Amino acid sequence: MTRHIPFSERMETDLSIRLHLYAIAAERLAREGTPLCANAVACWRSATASVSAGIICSHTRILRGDSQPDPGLPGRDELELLIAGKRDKPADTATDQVERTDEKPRNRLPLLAGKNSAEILALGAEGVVVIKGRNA
Amino acid sequence: MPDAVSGTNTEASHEPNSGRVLLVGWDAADWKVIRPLIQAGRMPNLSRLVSTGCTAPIATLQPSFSPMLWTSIATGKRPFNHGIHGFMEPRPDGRGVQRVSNLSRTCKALWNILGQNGKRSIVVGWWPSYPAEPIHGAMVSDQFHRVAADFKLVPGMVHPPQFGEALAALRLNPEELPLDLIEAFVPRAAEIDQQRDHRLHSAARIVAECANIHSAATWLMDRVTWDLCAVYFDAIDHFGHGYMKFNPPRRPAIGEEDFDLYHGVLQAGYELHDKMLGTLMDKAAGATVILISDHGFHPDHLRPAFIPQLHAGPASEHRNNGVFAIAGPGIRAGAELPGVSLLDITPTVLTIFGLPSGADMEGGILTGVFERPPVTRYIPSWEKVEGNDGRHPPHMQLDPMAASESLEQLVALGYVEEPDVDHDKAVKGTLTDLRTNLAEAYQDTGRHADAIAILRELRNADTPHAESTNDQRIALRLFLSAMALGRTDEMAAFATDWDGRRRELYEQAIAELEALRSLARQLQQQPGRDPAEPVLNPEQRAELKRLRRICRYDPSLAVYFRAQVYRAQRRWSDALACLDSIPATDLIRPGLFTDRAELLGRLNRWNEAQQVLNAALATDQTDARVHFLCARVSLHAGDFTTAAQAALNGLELLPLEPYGHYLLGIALTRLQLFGQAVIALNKALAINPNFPQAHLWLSRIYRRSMADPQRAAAHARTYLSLVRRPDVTKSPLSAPAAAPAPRPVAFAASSRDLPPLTDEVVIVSGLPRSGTSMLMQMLVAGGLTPLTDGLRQPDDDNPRGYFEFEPVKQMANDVAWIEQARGKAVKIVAPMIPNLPDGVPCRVILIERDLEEILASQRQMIVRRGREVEQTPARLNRLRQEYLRLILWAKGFLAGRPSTSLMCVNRNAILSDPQKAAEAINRFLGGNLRVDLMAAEVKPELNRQRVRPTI
Repeated sequence: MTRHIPFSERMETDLSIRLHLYAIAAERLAREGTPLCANAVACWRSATASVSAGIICSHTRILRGDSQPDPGLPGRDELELLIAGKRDKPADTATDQVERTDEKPRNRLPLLAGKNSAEILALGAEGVVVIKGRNA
Repeated sequence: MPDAVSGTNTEASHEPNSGRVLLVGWDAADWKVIRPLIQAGRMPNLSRLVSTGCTAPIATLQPSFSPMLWTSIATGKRPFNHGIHGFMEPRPDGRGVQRVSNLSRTCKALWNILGQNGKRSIVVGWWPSYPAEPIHGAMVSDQFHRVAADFKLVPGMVHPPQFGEALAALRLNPEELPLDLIEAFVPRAAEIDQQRDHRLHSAARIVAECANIHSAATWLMDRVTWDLCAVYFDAIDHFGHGYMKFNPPRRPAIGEEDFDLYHGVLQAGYELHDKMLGTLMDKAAGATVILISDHGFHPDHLRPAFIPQLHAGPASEHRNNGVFAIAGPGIRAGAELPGVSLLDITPTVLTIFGLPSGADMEGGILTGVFERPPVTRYIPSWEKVEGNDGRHPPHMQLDPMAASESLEQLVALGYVEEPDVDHDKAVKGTLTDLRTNLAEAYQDTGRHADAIAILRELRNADTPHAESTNDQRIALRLFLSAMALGRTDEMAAFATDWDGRRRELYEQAIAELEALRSLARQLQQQPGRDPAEPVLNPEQRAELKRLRRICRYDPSLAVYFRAQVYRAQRRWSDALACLDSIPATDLIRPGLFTDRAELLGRLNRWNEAQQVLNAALATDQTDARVHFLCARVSLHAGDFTTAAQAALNGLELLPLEPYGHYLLGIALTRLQLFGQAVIALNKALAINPNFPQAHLWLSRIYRRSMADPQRAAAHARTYLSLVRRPDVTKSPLSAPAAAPAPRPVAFAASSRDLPPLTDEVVIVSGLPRSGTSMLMQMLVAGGLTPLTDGLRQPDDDNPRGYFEFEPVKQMANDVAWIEQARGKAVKIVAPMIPNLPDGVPCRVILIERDLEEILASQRQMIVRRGREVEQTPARLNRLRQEYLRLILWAKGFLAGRPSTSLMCVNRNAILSDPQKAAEAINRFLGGNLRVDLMAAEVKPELNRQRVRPTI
């Protein structure tokens, strides 16, 4: 299996090997005259702005380390807790920004008996038929 | 470098494997999680893929929002060229918002291109893929697998529809999952009180939805002949957002009990995906297998402490590099590739199939994955290749911004009811998100002039500023573009505002918030209070929400902004002093280190700069920009080998950053590796042709070291033209090309003689101000009874009356009145046509008019009505496009509607020959109307917009 080499060790690799890989890795077509980057500004200023974007986004997204005081339960907003007065309500999954308006009302999971279910489910359609058959 | 259109490499090349491709997407999968699991033997199938093929960290794009990213993967284009700009979109009728569909996609996806080349595709779950496209093969949309209240099979979920029932029968609910499967995620599942703790159910729901994708894919793979099978799983992203916080090691903020219950969920999710990958790979034996993720997910000390309540806040958990692995016939084994981007996937898959890449695709062909150099070919654009590509017809395509503005225009004209306040708010908020995302996408490629135009428009429309949800995001993005464009004055004004007015508002809000918090504490402790009831009343909760919005202000950013202003003014010491005053606890991400190091370099304190960068690398080795700055420091120190290595490190993580290629080019020039330096500098220019310094260095190399004066002169000329050209940043955002005018339709062209009218509804339709009222007058004069309530009185715009019926404006909600219209004539403007109920036979006369005349007439009418609607060239152009689409849509809808006859007439044709028009209309309506009276109703003198106006 390929051994993944971290950057700290990567510097030890012969530069010529890395340059060869760099040269052949991807063929990027020169598009001079095309509108792809027609409005791009001078590159170094843009690069500086990119660095700042990382910083500013970090700040606005409150990306601070573990040393920061915990504002409440994980994934929670203390004021929300305060409003509701229910500290035991767990956070829901964020699901990548999509509001689940069509979410099925939460039923209790019946926790049905099963065996090797992960392997069976991984079979795909055939596995689902087996699981549905067992539950029937 | 190949020829732009049909060139091939000069090296010996060959046609790569032109067999099948299995493309598997794992949203948010990350090598940082996967590598240890592979080492532990817990992902044997991925291990097999990795050991027999190539891997790479794949660079994401900004903003790293999944619908935009997966569309870039499938098209090879960035968001401003593919049209998908966010998670949600306004509904086409403007009544609220919906999950983003594929109707906004403006270009072909991989499966459309393959279909045009006789290849069959299976596409399952791709985001966004609803409604399923009628492709050559089968498509299961991203709405299919979601666990919903009724789990209905909705039209558009599956193509071809006949597969729908069989696939739907395979869907699982979380409640159907067996205990041993759930225990693989949460070993103590049986101990959990599910009434109190919903996290178990949430995890089960993610598993069930993941299984629904997998079962649909396997079912289709067994039954449908395919060349490309593209399957997208969103579950790892969902596991990440929900359970990464519990992933080991436990952080202080995570309770021990929670950690103990849920610490295994994420890794179990990866293991389940590995098992499913094994099945897919077995079913795709002999195919090239590609596994990708759209971005990574911080699994370590860089995990955010909590998620901010901001738009797309959870995206803060994303990492910039995801997963890429490829194996199959003709693919190199055991190589780790440098510098792969999401944009490279489509060009590379096309090459695997032996097809040319599009020169308008923004990625490259990953030639390094092939054992032998492949034939690389290009065509100018796949968009220009005609023929059935399996996309939705043009009239179904949707531009959310244009659709919303068109609706706004119709409301202002009085043809459509004012939208519900909540719906209007949701639509406006969503449009702001989409526009801000688009601006960020421009910024990601350095197109700050385009970005700042959008951001200013949003800022000016967004009041009151400090309380707006998106205000901070827009303001920050504006600052960045001002910085990139060298607008120091604008930066300074922003920094002053941030440190003054905004700080005051923030401090005031903090005090008010504290008071509200004290009140809440008191209320909570009141004896006899029902603990099930919220502590605060609705008004207090609304106030709390308002204050929280203001408190999104981050005071420490004020110092950072001031530092950037000083930097732009070349006051390096002052800038550094500002940065040094930022508390050490904020120095978690390497970004601030990078700025400090750069300023230290400016002050010739290079050793200190290197120390700062070493500290940054100790925090995060995977920030490309730190590596680039290391390269710069090494260049200054004269250590060119280290500079080249550092630049390569950065480019492995961020291959589309031209600055990195440029630094590498300089290092290689200094090392006298001129041929390779030329490659690096050309790669920089391939990404950004407007990079003067890269041209300058190429000019020097060609002149001094490669004895090529012609090329040297060409690059020198380009360099000079770039540095001397007018400031592109000051030019206004150029409006897109105007929409082509609709082709004139003679009134008789689509008419035919029909039998006499019975109980059909006669509908007069068209865009507002296209002549619908004139047509109604003709029909009434000819003897037809109109359905009108006379509520809208004649005025200067329509001195002879509107013939409108008020309930038409509310057709989206109620169409019961349509029964009253049988045998009568009723005016229904084109945007309302989709609301026609089924089962009502209709004869529709659709009137068309020159779009410029329509827009001018509408503008006059809006002014007379005392309404205000923005009339910028960009908006008018979007309106033109949307009106064209609406007419196309209406024609397509009516042509396919049962029991419907359609006649298209042109207003100018009626005006120029009223008699002939009346005769044609009479034939269409059964021949019983008074043609002479109809013709007499046409008053050409009322044609006030005949002369093409300037708008």
